[in-house]
This record gives sequence, structure tokens and C-alpha cells, in this order.
Amino acid sequence: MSNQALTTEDIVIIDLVAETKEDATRQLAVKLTNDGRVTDLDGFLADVRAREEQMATGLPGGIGIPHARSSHVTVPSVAVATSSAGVDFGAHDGPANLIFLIAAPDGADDKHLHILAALARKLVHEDFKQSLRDASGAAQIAEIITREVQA
Amino acid sequence: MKIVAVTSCITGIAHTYMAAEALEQAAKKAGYDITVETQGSAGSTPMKQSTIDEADVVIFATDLEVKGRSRFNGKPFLQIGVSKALADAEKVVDQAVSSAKAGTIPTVGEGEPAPAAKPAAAPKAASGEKKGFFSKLFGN
Repeated sequence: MSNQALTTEDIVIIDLVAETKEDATRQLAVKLTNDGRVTDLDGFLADVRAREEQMATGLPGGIGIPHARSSHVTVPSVAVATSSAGVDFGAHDGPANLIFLIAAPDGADDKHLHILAALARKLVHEDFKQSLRDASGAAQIAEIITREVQA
Repeated sequence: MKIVAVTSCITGIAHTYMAAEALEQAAKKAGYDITVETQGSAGSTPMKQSTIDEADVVIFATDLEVKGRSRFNGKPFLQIGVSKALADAEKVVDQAVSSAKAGTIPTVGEGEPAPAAKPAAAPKAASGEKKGFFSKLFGN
């Protein structure tokens, strides 16, 4: 369990359609729940919402990164969605077309948190984001993240 | 020009590291040396005191209180929120460098009470994270 990849194709949504960031986050969280990474969907969503309410997680350049450390998370995970329609995550320059739901277990060890930190650093790089936008499907997105972050 | 920076955010798993990366990229692009200390949940490794001593300016891109803030005493500093560093890294670096050169920003510790004089610091100092941080800092 502890060596489970951060992202697999089972937790990627291609061309997500959502009216709100809450809806988008829920769709991704359902993926995490179905994959056994989140034990309590509503409990986890409440933790993400608590964080989101402190400050919106939309970032310039079409990125949304809802995230939480939560006791309802079993393994550090990043669920990813692409959205051609876009979802408003509160960024000043428009909706997000790449969404990363970052889930960290409450008692995650340093190694896991370092992997999440590495992913966060990657999100600043335009070429990394572009490679995800250009990916042909869920499997390729998972493959890119695993290669770039866990190499 | 040498810059040191500290980043931190509420959850400590995303913005802390994104802002660090953004500041490093922006400084590199502008031809400055930068060392960033990420005070996030993946543990915080304090930068060397000699690195701080050699710095010309400090950027605190922090949403939490800077741990070990007195290490930076006497250095001109720019205090911003972590998301500003992320959204406007190049401007932040420019601003820090130009205002440090012009002497238009305050220095750390100026007009601030000594850390020990702050009663609020006591309970925090007892937490495991803080203890670990200072153990690393002082090498014991």
C-alpha cells in the first residue's frame, strides 16, 4: 500500500464537466474513494472544503489545486482532471482546465510528503502542465506524473 | 545579489513548494543567487546561518509565522503572502532586490519584540514539529 503510485489511470478524469469547483472536487474524490484511497467521501470533502474556504486554490494559467491533509486518506494521492470547458477555482485570470485534487493522509511520513512536494514544484513548470494537457488519455497522464515525480 | 527566502502555507503540502519553485526560477532568470527554506509539512531543513549572513535581502512568502525568524535579524526583508510569490514571482524578486538596494524596506527584528518576550510563543515551542525544527537548527 505504501508504495502505491501517486496517480493511476483509475483516478484521472478526462474532459470533466462540472458547474462548480465543489462538483469537480466531488467527482475526483469519488474516484479516490472507489480506488480505496479515501475511506469517507463526505468527511474528506469537508476537509478539502475547509481548506478551500480559507483561500481559493485556483492559480494563474488555468490550474486548480484543491487539497487537504485528512484522516480519511489512506495513501498520498493526486487525482487529476482535464476540462475543456473549464471550472472556476477562483483564479483571477479564468477557469481551470487542469485540476489536481491532492490528498495527504493526516499522519503521512516524510517520504510521502516529499513526493507531494515534488509534484507541487512540478506544477510551476509550464512544460509539465502542457505535457498533461497534451496527453492522449488517463493512462498517459498517470504515466507522466509517475515518471516526473517519482523518478 | 544573494536572496534568501522562506515559504509556508496553511496546509503545507502545495503552495509552500510551488512558491519556492517559482521564486527559484524567477531569481535564476534574473541572474541572482537564491536559497529557499520550505517550512512545509515534509519537514523543514533550516538553511545554513552562513547563507543567511551572506544574503542581501530576505523574502518571507509565508502564510504562517516564520520559524526561527530571529535568524534573519538585521536583514532587509519583504513580507508577502505565499500566493503572491506564486502568481508574481518575477515582480516579487525585482521588488525585493530593488528596494533592498534603495534601502526602502525594513530589516528583520526592527521594532519587534524579542521572540522570548512573546507569551504566545511558549505553547507552540512545545509542539513536536517546532522541537524537531530547533533540534535540526542547533544540531542536537
